[in-house]
Amino acid sequence: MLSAELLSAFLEIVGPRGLITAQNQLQTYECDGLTAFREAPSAVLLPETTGQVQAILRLCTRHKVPFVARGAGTGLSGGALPTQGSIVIGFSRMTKILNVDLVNHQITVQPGVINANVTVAVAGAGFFYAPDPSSQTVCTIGGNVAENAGGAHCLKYGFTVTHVLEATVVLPSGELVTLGSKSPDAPGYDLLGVFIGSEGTLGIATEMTLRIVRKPEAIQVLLAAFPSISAAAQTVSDIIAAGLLPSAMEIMDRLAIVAAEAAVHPQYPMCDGLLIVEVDGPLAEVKLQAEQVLELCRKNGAIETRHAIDEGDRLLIWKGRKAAFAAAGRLSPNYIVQDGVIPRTTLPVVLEKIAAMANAEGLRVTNVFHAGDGNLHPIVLYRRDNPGEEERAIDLSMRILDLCVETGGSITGEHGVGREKQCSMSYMYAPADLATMQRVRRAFDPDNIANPEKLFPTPRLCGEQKRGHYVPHPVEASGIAEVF
Amino acid sequence: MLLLTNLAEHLAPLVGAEFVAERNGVFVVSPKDTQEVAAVMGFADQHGLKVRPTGGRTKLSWGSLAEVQIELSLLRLNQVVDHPWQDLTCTVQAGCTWETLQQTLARHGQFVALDPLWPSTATVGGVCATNDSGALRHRYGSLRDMVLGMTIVLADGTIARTGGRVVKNVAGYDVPKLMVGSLGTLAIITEVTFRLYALPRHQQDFLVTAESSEKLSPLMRAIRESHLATQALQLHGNVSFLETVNGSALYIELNAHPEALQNEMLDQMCLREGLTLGFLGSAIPFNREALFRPDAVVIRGTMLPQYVAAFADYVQREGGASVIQSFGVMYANFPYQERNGVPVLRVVKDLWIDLQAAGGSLTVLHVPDALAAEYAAWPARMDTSSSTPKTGEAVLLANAIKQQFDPNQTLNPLANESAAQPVR
Repeated sequence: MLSAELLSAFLEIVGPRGLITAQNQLQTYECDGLTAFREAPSAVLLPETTGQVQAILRLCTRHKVPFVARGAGTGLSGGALPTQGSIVIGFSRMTKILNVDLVNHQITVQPGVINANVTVAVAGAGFFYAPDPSSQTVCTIGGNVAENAGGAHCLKYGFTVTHVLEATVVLPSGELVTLGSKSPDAPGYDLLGVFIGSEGTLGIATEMTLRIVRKPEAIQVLLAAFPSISAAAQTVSDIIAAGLLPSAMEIMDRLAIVAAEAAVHPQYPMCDGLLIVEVDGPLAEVKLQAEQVLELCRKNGAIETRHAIDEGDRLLIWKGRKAAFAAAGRLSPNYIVQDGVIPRTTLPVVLEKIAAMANAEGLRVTNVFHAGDGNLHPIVLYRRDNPGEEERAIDLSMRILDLCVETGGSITGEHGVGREKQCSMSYMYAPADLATMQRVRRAFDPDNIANPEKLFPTPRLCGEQKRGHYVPHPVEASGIAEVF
Repeated sequence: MLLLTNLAEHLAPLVGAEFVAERNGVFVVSPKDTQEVAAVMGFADQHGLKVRPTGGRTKLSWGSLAEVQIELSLLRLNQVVDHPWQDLTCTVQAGCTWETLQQTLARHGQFVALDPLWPSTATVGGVCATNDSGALRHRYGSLRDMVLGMTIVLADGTIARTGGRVVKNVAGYDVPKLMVGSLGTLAIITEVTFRLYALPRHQQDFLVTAESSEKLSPLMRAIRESHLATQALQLHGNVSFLETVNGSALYIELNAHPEALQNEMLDQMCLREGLTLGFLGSAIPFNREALFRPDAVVIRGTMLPQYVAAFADYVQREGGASVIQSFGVMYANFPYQERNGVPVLRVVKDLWIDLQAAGGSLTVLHVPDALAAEYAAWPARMDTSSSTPKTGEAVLLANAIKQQFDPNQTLNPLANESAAQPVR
């Protein structure tokens, strides 16, 4: 609990409209998109300026009060989940677009600006903001930067880190730093590069200058229905092998199609493996590429292929894909979205294994994923009402991540580690690797008050024993020797 | 206390006697793998010896480095470890030359989409440590967008794997980002995993010339705003060493299928600006390497894209030549000569002030021997902390990072103690 003095100091900084302490209102902030974990904050502060954020963090440092920054709370890994005794700093009152610089292709925004609104601000001039997480109509840029958010179009355009030029950051001490620069290659260490994706554990960005991208001349979306996920996955490999670089390649399985259809009626063909491919660029180039993609789809046994007939049709196709997570609610009252990454070539094998694991557990898993990147989003469906089912669902989703690591992949491609996957970190990284990351953290946050108990495995949350954690010796990893 | 005279005897057991050599009082050790690098580092750190990691030694003048006792050469770590081409990634050891890496990847029609300086001798580790990039950055981005993971050895000998081997990974801090451009001051890179691209198949190169860069500016802007599949867009200022050109040239590289007829669109754009489109073969007529003359001060400057043409002409007026990417990275040289009684270092300093005023930065990459003493006497090294942030806090933060990674200042100490932050 916060002392009365501290609360009144906070009140002085943000004013009565910027401080929430009533229990019923605090409930709104007890979890983010990962609803399986909940913890009420001590207070919620809604600052309006960078100066207010500085003042808040100075107090946090002086009184060793942990803080958790929060945008729209759409994160899927528990990044905005309060820590015991922490305050939450929300950015719903810092939603201004500060500057649009079309000549240099950049825009400066506050952290509470919604992702899609960045594109809205520059669309008239023929630009867009490329990173497009599925939640882009509600999620904020501050959260995107914290998580290094991705999205379907990252295959061609890169992640959030590719598109942030400069950030004004309040360090946990309350000091203000400018990381990066509006010009390329700021001198010194790339502190901005390491800050992006640090999940709020290094400080809080209160102003960000983003790169905007020229809208392509033409965009074409193709749908191909396959009798199996493997055939769809093979098509993706063939497209890559042909040297093509579509702007997005997505695969959905039958269950995901059913859910999307029920939610937004995108009129997908019903099949076991639906491939969505988007190509963009100069008009003539797009036509040629689309033909090549269709040819490869047919070669791999596509039952049905079609392309978007117009802009409305294209947007509807994407609406269905982006609604997939939320639509999972139509299949089951509760679900966990996972975010593992695997080398693209192992897709068919890994998907089969996931199906087998789900069967053995008696749970349903539906798959929607960024096939071009090998970024899987298995959605584990369960009912919290059934005793023990939530625990089994969490366990299954963690074992899916282990499988991803075993194929040489990662436990998260775009959702972040947060609270959810911190115990899996020591499955992916050796102690020395994690200790190296901690050196970065100590430089930024020596008091460990910025979103503590996230990202790194802790003895309290992960237990002293490791979950079968095993890091292969380099000799073994390179295939020179085997362990029996 | 360890005697420097018998240092070779201590280093020999770590890497083998034949891989320890003395060169001008510096002991050059050449470990064969990451474990041996760690052994050398552990030893050096413990005994307060300073270490400089090297590869092809092409860019050692970048960053005002102090004397060291040990040069740790990575040239024996020169293998392409893995190239799972269907996953569009590769893992390569730090001492592999850029050219060898690209030749290996080309067997499957792929490449790391980056064109650094001196590819036949520059190594993967050195390219990463200096964050080098060339014209291809226009289309593909810089190393920040290409490095997926790294194996690094910290000053105390700790071996850490950072990042991953898949194209998408946000698990934990992106430590490789911190290594790119850190000039070997935080850790030694021993292995790098890159994301790859398919080699461009329909590359077409063009050159448009004019007496000044400002004359080319509207065309450059028009290309940036167009839907052309531009792969590189590079301004060459004061290119008198090109036989046929005296003035400025805009180099344009397109990568589009011939049926897309983009060259015709480009031709029309040139006509509208009163310029003539020239066709080229497949090679850049001259490149950044040409700027690195021993008798010239060579700098790297950064600026907002809108100032590119203006600074090209600025450099030209001051008797320098430049190669500038349209997105705002400039390489320029100023031959060592007195011009109207103005010393060349004064010109560079003025340029630095003007670039900073325009929101950019300047880094000195090479100073002729004749000017070394004058350069060393500058009150504050313009290429370091003083050119960085609006507040001093980012410098403190950078120093805190250095302190965490290398508390004994073992790795690549800088010549100027006050300039603890390296240049990029």
